[in-house]
Amino acid sequence: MSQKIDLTQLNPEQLNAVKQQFDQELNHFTQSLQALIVAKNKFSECVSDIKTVSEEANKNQTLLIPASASLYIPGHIKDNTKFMVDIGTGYYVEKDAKDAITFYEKKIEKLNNESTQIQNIIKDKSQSSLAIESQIRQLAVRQHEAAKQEAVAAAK
Amino acid sequence: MSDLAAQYQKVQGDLEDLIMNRQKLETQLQENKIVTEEFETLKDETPIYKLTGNVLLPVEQDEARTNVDKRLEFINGEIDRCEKNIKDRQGELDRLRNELMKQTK
Repeated sequence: MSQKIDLTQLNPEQLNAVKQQFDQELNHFTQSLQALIVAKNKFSECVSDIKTVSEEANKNQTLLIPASASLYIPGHIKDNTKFMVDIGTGYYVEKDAKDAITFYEKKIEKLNNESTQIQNIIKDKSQSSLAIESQIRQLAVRQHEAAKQEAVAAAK
Repeated sequence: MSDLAAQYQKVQGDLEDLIMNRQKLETQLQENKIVTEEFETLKDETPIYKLTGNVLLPVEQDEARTNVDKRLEFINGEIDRCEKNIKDRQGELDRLRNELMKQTK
């Protein structure tokens, strides 16, 4: 995957192909990063929701339960210390407020780690992409000069 | 010549599909792994529910565990199969490329 390529050895078409590949990868990683951030925000919301609901003052709090997007049924919280947590692939586990919060915080931390990893990759890739671009430009300039000299020589 | 090129392109397309498939399997594997890890940290009396359609049905911890383990096993098997296919296609692609090169010379 990460074999070293000497950019100065490539012709313009190859450089363009390499640049395209890098840009594609860059795009992919930026999208992944975006997805991670969205997921992280969702989990953060869950944590703050748990904190609010499990407050002492919210015991027996009344609320409206959405039966559909346009129909709500009044209800009240029977037990504000128990939460149903989605742990993935359709499985849900009952957790108390503290455990549920640690569960989500662990997830957030994991996502944070992955975000920094992806950010580093993006930094690397965009640097490489810039390097390739400057190489393309240099080559173009050199070709241009060579063509000019040829024209001069032909005119003599 | 064009026959060979068409064949090359077809194998290349197959390979891309396989790689996408492989990625999907990897996502499933990771998700299931996270679930097993979560099962490990549960207390014995913690109830587990499974989302079936739109309803949460209670399941025994043992049942849930064996279910996810079985799923992991299945996914790992699928990954092996997929990897083997990828290798085969790659070999075929290399062979076709060599032949193409020979013909263009």
